[in-house]
Parts: sequence; C-alpha cells; structure tokens
Amino acid sequence: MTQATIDASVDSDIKPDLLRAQVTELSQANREPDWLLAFRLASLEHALALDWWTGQEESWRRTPPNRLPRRAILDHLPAAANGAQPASNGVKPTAPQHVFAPLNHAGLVHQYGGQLVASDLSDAAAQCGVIFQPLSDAAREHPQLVQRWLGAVGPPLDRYEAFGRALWSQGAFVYAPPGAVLNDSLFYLITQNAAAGDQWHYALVVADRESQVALIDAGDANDRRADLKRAPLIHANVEIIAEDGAHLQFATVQRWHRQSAAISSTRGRVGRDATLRITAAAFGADVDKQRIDLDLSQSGGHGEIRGLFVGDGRQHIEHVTRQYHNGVGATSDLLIRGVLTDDSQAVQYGLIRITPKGQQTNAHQTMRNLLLDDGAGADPIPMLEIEADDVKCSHAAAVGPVDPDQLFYLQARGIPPHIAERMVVRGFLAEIADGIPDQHMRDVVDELVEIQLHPQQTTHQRNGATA
Amino acid sequence: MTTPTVDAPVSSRSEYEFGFHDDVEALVKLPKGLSREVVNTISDIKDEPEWMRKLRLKALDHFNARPMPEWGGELGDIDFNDIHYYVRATDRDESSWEDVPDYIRDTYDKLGIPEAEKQGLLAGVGAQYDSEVVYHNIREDLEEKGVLFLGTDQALSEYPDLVREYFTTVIPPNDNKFAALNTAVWSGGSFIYVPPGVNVDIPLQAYFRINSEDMGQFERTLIIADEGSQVHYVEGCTAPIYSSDSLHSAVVEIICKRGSNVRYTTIQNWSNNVYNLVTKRATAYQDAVMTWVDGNLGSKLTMKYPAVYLMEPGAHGEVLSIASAGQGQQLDAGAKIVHAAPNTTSVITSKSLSMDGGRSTYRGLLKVYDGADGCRSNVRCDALMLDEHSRSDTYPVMEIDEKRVDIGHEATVSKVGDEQLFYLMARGLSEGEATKMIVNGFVEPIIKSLPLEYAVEMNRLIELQMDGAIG
Amino acid sequence: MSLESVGPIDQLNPGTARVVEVDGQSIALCRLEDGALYAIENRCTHDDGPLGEGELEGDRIECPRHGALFDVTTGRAVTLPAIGRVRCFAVEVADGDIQIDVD
Repeated sequence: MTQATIDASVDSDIKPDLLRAQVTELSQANREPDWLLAFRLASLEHALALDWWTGQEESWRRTPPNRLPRRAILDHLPAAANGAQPASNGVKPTAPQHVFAPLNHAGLVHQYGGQLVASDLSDAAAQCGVIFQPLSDAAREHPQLVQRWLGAVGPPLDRYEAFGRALWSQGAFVYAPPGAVLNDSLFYLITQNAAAGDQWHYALVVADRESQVALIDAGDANDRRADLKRAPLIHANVEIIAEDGAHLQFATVQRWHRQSAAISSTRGRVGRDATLRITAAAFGADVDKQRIDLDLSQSGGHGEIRGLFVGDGRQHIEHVTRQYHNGVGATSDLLIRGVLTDDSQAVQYGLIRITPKGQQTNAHQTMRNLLLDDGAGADPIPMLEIEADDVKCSHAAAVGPVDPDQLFYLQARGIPPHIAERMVVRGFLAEIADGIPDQHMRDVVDELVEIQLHPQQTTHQRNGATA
Repeated sequence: MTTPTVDAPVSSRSEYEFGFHDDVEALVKLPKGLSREVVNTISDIKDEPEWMRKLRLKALDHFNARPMPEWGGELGDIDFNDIHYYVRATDRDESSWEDVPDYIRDTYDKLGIPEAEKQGLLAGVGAQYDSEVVYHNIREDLEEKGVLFLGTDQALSEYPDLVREYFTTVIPPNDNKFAALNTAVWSGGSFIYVPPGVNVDIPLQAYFRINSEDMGQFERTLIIADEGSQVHYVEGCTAPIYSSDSLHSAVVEIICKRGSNVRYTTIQNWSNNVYNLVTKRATAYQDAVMTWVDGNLGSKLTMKYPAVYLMEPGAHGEVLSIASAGQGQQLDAGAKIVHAAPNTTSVITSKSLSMDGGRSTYRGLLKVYDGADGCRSNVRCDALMLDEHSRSDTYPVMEIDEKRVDIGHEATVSKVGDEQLFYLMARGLSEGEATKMIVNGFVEPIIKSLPLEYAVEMNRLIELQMDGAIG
Repeated sequence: MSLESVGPIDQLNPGTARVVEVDGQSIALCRLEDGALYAIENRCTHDDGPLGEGELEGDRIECPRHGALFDVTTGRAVTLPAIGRVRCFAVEVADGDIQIDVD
C-alpha cells in the first residue's frame, strides 16, 4: 500500500499526468485486460475535459459548498503482490466478520481498502451460472460480458461520474444469466478504511432476460470514531441493467465514517416488461449526495426508487433522482422517507421527465420528511416535465413533525412519550425498510435506525463496525 | 382621429378579439432603446422629485449589470434596443370618460369598461393606454372616506411622502433584472391607499392596454391597505397583435397591514406577441389576508410568480393561479409564499392547461423560516394536457427550516379522461363540448373565487382558446 | 472581550464598506459619511449575499444579490426580500487601528 500525503484542504488541483500514471499502475496491479485500462484512460480524459460543479447549477444550489470536495486523488494504490486475489468460489470469509454480513446468502464479495477480503458464491447461484466477483477479475475472466455492459447506461453525467469510471480501486460485477432465479440475495460489502483517504467504487449489475436476482450493497467504516484530518471522499458509480422481463432488486445501505463526503451515481436501465427496484438507505457520512437515475425507455418496464434516511448532527442528505420515461407504457414510482434530528438537513430533487414518446406512462413521486428537532430542515423539490398527454403523473411532498394524533394515541395507552415517538418514526420508515429484499438486511436497517435515533440508549453501537 | 383597425392575426388564436389597434400619432414617443438619457427624459417629462430620478438611474445600472435569467422561458430574443420605453398618447389623466380622447374611449368601450362602471359593478376604474394612465375615477363615497385610487405618477406628485415611504420596500430595485428595468423606466400603474377600517365593498378595476408597436409597458402599482381595511383590485390586460414583440414588465407592491384583507385579481389576456415579465409581491402583517387570483391566458411568454410574505402571526396568504397555454405560448407562472412568522397559513392552488403545442409551467416556492412554528400550508397543482403536442412542467420548491409545521404539496398531470369523455358523449355531447365541460370542471375551483362577471369572462376566454386548439 | 485588529482607519474611506475576516467570521465593516463605524455579519439573511460588497448609502447597505437593504446600525432588514436581522459586532478604533470583537 502506497500512501499519498494527506492535505487538509477540501478541494484540490487535478494533476493529470500523475493520475494517468496512477490509473495505469492500478489497472496493472489488478491484472486488468488492456481494454479495461483503455476504458479507464478514456474516462479519465473525458473527466479532465469536464468542469467541477460551481453551486450555480440548479441541482447543486443546495449542496454545502465546502463539504463535498471537488477533487480527484488516488490516495492508495494496491501493491501488485497482495492486490487482486482471484475470487474463488466456495471460500468462506477470512476477514473479520462484517456487521452487515448475512446469515444466508447467494454470494458475497467483501472489499476493504481496495483489497478483496472475502468472496463466496452459493452452489445454487453457481449452478445457474451467476457471476459475482470483483470487477477487475470479472473483466479478465468474462471479458465479453463485462465489456458489453460496462458504461452501457450512457456517457458519464458529470465529472465525478467520469472520474469514477477511471479511478475506481474496488468494484464488483454481478451477472445473472437468462432465466436464472436466486432465492437469496447477493451481498457486496465494502468496509471503508477511513484513515486511508478517498475511495472510488464501481459496481456493474446485469440481470439478463427473465432472471430474478437481488443485490445488497452495504458500506460500513472500520473505525467510525476516528478523528480524521481530512474528510474522505467516497464516490460510487453503480450501473444497473435489467434486461427484458428481468426482476432486479438493488438495495444500498451505507454507514460511512461520519466525516465522509459521499457522492454516488446509481443509474438503472429498465428493459421491456422488466422490473427494477432501487432502495437506498443512508445513515453515515457528513454529506451524502445520491444521484439515482431510472431510464424507462421500453414498454411495460417498471422502476422504483425508494429512499430512507435518518440524519443527525449537521448531516446533509441529498437525493437527486430522475424517472426518465422515453418509451410507451412504462411505470415508475419514487418514495422517499426521511427523519431529521439535531441540525441535519435534507434535500430532494426529484424529476419525472416524460418525453413525447412516453405515452401511457404512469409515474409518481412521494417525499416525506419528519423533522424531530428545531434545527432540522428539509427541502423537497418534486419536479414534473411532461411532453405526452396520455399519462398519469403525480407527486406529493410533506414536511412536518411526528403526527401528534399518533403520539397521543400511543401515550393514551400508557406508552412513554420518547418510546411513542420512536414507534411512530419506525412505523414511518417501515414502508421503505420492508421493501429491502433480505430479512437480515431489514434487521440491520432497523438497528441502524435505532442507533441513529438514540445513540445513548443502545448497546449495539460498539459492535458497529469491525474489520 | 382614426378608426381602429383589426390586423390580420399572426397566431392561431384567430379568436383573439382584442387584436385591433388605433392608428394614432402618439403625443410623445421616445426613440427606441434604453440609456441614461431615456431614463432622464422620462423623469423630466414627469417632473418628479430628485430622489425618484436617482432611484431610476441606480436601477438602470442594476439592470445593465444583472445577467439575463437562464431559467424559465427563452428571453434571449428580447431586443432591449428595439423597444420604445415611453409612449404617451394623451397628456391628461381624466376622471370622466367624456374627456378621454374618442379613439381611446372607443378602445375601452370595446372592452366594456365604462359600461361596467356605469352599471355600478365597480367602485373605481383606472385605464392605462401605453405608458400613461388616461382615466381614473373612484366612487364619491369612497373618496370621502379617504380612499385613494389614482395613477402612480399622480400619486407621486400629490402624495410624495406616502409614495416614498413604501416605494421599493417590498420589491427593491435590484430584486431581479426585470424589477430593475421597471424601476428605471416605470410609468403609470395604480396607487391605492385604503384608510384604517374602510371596506371597499366592490372591486376597483384597472385596465391596461398596449396600443403601440414595439412598445414596452412598465406600470408600477402600489397598494397600501391600512389596518382593518378591505379592498379588491382587478386588472385586465390586452394588446393588439403585431408581427413584432412587445414587452410588459410591471412591478406590483402590496402592503397588507394588521387585519386587512386584500385581493388582487388579474385576467391577463395579452396578445401572443407580448413578453409578460412581472414581479408581484405582498407583505401581510398580523391577521391580514392577502389573496392573489392570477389568470393567465395570453402572452407569448409569461414569467410571473405572485408572492406573499407572511410577516406576523395570524397572517394568511393565498394564491389561486390558472394558466392556459395554447400555440406558441409559454406560461411560466406560479406562486411564492414565505412564512416568516409563527402561526401563519397559506394555500396555493394552481390549475394549468396545455393545448395546441403550448407549454404551461408551475414554478413555486414555499419557504418556512426557522422559528415560524405552527405554520400550515397546502399546495395543490393540477395540470391537464389536451393533446400530445403540448407540455406541462411543475417545479415546486419547498424550503422548510422549522419542525412544528404542517406542510403538504400535491400535484397531478393528466389528460382528459376517456371514461369521462365517453360518459358525456354517450349523453349526446360532441367531443368538443364534452372536453369543454371537463375543462370547465377542472378550472372551477379557481373560477368560482372570481366575481361572477369575471368568472363568466374567464370561462369564455378559455373556451375561445380551446376552439382554436380543438377546432 | 477579545478585540482583533483589522487594519488602519485611514484606509477605509467614509461612505464605504469592506469585507474583513475575524476568527473565521466574515464581516462587513461599514464607515458612514459622518465617520461612524459599524460591523455586521457579511451575509444577507435572504440568500447569503455578501453585504460588505454592496453599496453603502447613509446608514443602509444594499445586498448586491437581490437589493435587500439593511440598517447597519442595528442589523435590521429594512426591505424585502430579506426578513431576518444580521448580527452586529462591537467595533472601536485604537491608535488609528480598527478593532472588532466577534465574541
């Protein structure tokens, strides 16, 4: 592991030549094929030609200017020797148990600081041809598949996304072949080495025709209490393809180090009669800006975006979503439910865009924010741009405190106020949490909600993260 | 002088019945273009106090310094050098229609204004023709109670201290590019002062007419409702159809003092060659009620978001907005409500129609300041699409910094339902009739808040537009 | 009370304002025509505009972003679109040096 000097400033200048050299070194250390290095370098050039956000752009106006860094640095490079361990099926996790790790699963990839620490694939998954391994390995072992789908969601939407395609040091590839049906979920776990600086992740998820698969993408930090000199940037690109007739569920749960600045770009493409549900649960980080984009250009496609968060301290939690309807007869639904305590702030930009081709679209958005403390605030901004007439489209947004009627009802039954409030809040979040495809993960999310709401009252906080 | 002539329509709104213009030589028409000289000349013509001239010149600097807004509609086509900033047809602001020049009176006769006044439907009438107010009259009993209703220029010369006390306190010269432009070259508009406890029981109406080609109309309206008073102001706007574009950029400032109740109704029916870029804002103090009823049917591009700042507890703000966009039109309308004090309430109801390739947009802001606890707000926006060539956008922004609030927003976009159409057509209605009936039902919640004769007018205008769209 | 020096008084002309930084706090330092000094928070309560970069006229300063006026002697917003008042800081001159107390 080579460690760059950490500089305490938020933004930093880009050093193109250094990045070109580092990307090349990284790709070679991971024993990636030449075409993947070419992809990285082309993405890097693309990123270099773009500009950072200024705060004037509509979807950036509410992002705290000094807390989400404009920088592209590779803080750590895996050394060739211990870099890419080939994923081998059947190997039980060797790294310390991750708190998010499941009891039962169809497959597991666990990475820490750019290293693979565990991987596993169930017999059932292997038998139906499911591939689940680090992206570099997949590119080497399944080049046609990876090459076909990598970047297939379209060109990068901004500079972060473009850098993300170039600089990633850990990534995963999921492929479910046509007709494959998995009962259990696949788990992609990332443990943030908070002290090691910025991280760039890249996940590519493909559910081929008529397949049914669920992936849990869970991020945690090795030491959530460390006082870091510089806030680490955590960037994630997630590209999701649900081919015709596929049913794909993707749930991401993050509890990054509290000083982190997290930005992600999750882009899903929904095929004909396919279903894609993206669930995002946010707990950690100082700033978390999640961009989620659903491309619904095929008839009968159905997409869902579900967001859940509990903010505390002065956290800023932002969702920028787009439901893009460019084909006939697709449906989509967005549902965000957030709880804000202390001085935390939430922003939701949600756009439903229906092009003239999007006739018979049925698209909806709902954003609900519960404010539990005086300093908390929420800016829900649900937007509609509709260019087809035969559509059903709606949005709703609400901001307010815990419903006093519900509190009264519970208190009248002898439940103390603070417990009653917690019950109402959990009930409020349950609609999202219950949609997470794995029971173990639902329990974890439940637990994280508890911890985030009442840190002093739980005994689980010290079990938070290991690794 | 001359008889009005009707131009060949340049848009599909062949039914636009106010497309005629008077061929008259204006008394004063400043050359096209905007400069310090033009601003100084306007100030000279008006013989106004020095502070106003300084304010105008400062505003001109702001206008020149500010970039064009990059959101909303396409503003790049406006050529600020190809506009007459001041056109005066007559040198008098009369209080009797008999004294208004015949050709101008003819115009207002066609618009039915003197008739409505004669019938006692209005408490007062103002009429602005191009840059200047040509007529203002108010019922005697209201005048005796101290109600002021006159042109803003006249108010500035007769009540300079009153004007100066409130002018630009609600909308500063540098609020936005078009407010700056208005402050630099403003002319005309209504000034209303209602003394404490006085109830102006029937509406005051102002009628704005652009007659000249390549004209900019920049009226400035200031309404002060003193404690416990009540007033309803209605404005209508029309313009001839010319092949080149006109600019209408008004500023309206309203102060609703404690316990007052102000309603401001606009029926905007500019021809489809008018850029309508207007800033309207009201402040409402304790227990005051401010209501904007904003009907937008005409113009090429409208950008207008009537605002209410709720400054003290118990204030209530309401915006009822209706927009109907047809061919070649972009109506970017909406509302802003700012809850700056506890226990304030607001309601926004917006209904928009898009037809014949038109684009209607709801753009809104709902802001609750920290400490404004106990606020309640409900926002409801519905859009109806009448065909597949049109577009509807909804951009509501909510900024909520207080937890003890009850804020809800809902919006829908849909088309005229096949089931509804089928049901009505099965009862013998043609498709056109059935669609009109459904549209009537859709806009009804807003229409019913208008005085009867305006409700009838509004429905008629929407039907005319639909005739153009659905044939 | 901790006073921080922000520069000599003779470099701030009467009728002008300047932005200074004290302990990470950005301040609009205003010198009125009559010589009186005031220090207010350099952040418009409407949209965070830098007040100290605006025009000072009499005892009022105009936010360069949307034209809200503030009374620099009290911090009160005089016109919309600003509503809330800005913080005021104690300021004094010692030996020709302007000193501000941000505590």
